[in-house]
Amino acid sequence: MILNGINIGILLIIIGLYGMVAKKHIFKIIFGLIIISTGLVLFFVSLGYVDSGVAPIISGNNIYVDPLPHTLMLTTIVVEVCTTSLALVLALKIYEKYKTLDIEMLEDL
Amino acid sequence: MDIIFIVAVPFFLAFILSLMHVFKKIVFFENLLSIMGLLIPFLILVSTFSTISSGDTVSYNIGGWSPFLGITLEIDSLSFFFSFISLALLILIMIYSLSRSSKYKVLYLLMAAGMQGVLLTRDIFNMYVFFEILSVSTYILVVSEEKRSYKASFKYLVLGSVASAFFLFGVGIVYETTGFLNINMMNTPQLKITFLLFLTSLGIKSGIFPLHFWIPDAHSIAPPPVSALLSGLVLKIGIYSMLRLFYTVFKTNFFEMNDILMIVGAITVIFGAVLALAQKNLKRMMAYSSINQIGIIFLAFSFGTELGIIGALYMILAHAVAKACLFLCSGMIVDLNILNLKSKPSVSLPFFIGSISLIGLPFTCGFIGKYFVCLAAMETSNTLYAGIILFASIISAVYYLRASYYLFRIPKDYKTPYLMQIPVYITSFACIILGVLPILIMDIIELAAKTLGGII
Repeated sequence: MILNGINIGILLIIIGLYGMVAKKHIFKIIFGLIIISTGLVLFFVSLGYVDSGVAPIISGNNIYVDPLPHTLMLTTIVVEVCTTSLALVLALKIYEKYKTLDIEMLEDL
Repeated sequence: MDIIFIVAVPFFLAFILSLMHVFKKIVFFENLLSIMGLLIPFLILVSTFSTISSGDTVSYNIGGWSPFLGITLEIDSLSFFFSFISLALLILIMIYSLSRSSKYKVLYLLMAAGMQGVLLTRDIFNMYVFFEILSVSTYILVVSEEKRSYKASFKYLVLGSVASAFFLFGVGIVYETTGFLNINMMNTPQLKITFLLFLTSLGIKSGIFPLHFWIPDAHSIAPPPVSALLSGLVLKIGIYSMLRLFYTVFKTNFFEMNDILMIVGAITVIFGAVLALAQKNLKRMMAYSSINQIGIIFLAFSFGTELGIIGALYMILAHAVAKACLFLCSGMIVDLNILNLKSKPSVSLPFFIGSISLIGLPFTCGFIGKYFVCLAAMETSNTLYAGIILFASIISAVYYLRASYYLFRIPKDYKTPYLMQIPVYITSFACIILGVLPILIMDIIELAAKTLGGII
């Protein structure tokens, strides 16, 4: 396997998914979520990469990288911040109400 | 007015409402703003009707950029159909829940804006962003004073985020293979992995069988008007995106996966019906019944014919109206244990009408929907699936008529405000009207099915 951004991004997404499925602690599930979104950002940013490309400020006959995936990722990062903060608030509330953060123990209550 | 205001007005008024919450609390003004935030988009939408019914589309390029570079909003007959149902129900449910806090109204308007955004936009990344606005506001709306609601909301959030991640991953692959983000321009062949990613993502959002497990918790623990929204509208937005993406982007016969999709749909139908029968709690029963109905809708459009799409669209209308009616009724029922239902007698009749519409008895809109779905099944010689739908209808008759029976049996007088009763009566009346006079909405449904066209 070639170690480029796209492959590492996909690998990170798979690691994050594994973490969300296999771990029983609420914080670890949230970490899985964060890892998935990091993998996605890396994947998208690598999509715009062009060999020996420069920043797309048009001057002369250079090769330019694709700026669109990068701009899309600015939006995605904002969305991920919202979702993660909401997840953390819910985790806090769950701890206040149940005094535990273990998913398996929560299922019984 | 331009159609961008359908999305922009609820956003702007949500912002104003949140400011009013900080400064001064004037209840009348608050209510006025929250109704206006839904009524103005509705009027703008209705004003485009003459253009839509003649088969044209209304489009708007944000910022004046060409569709290739910028984001396009467009109303065609499919968007019009979904947008009309969702705005009409949003207004009714807002009237039902006017007595709630202003925070609720802010989130409600944000959710309405996100919903209209998903329905109108033709940019696939923009669709993702609006989906997130819609989902994040619903995660918060699910939370109530009840202890278990935090758990339900967290479960919903985790699964919703995974669904969004899959969607975004799909968007990345689509952009890499076609070079476009505009849905109308992606005419080049797509990869199968993209199809599977979108199917999984939208399957979680709309609750198809192996991905349904967040539905019973979130739908039964949320406050009644929110349950009505989740079950009646938010699940349908996932179905809309499936129709839009599968029929305009992935034109190639669902990648020979028609049969698998039909089997998944049939399992969803049976699974939802059987588990609903086993429930003790009324709202939980209705949540499982939603899975059953979503299965019928999924089955209908995976036939891939025009008649199948007509059936799916009519079922969407029928389920949205009837399920909203039932969940709004459940807000006025005091004890939700099925064997111990107590309510004002006035709720029993709307509940009964909504129930028979979901079962699919004649003279209700559910009947017309199931009729078209079964017709589509016969037409593509899948008679077995028509049988499965009818079998599931019999099961649903058992659990809905049981609940109605207990509701009629013990009439107790409880005071409910008129503002809460009006939406219930309007939705139950709509169930009957749409069942007796399907011609009212049939033109726009046929037009929508024609624009999508069959696959096979």
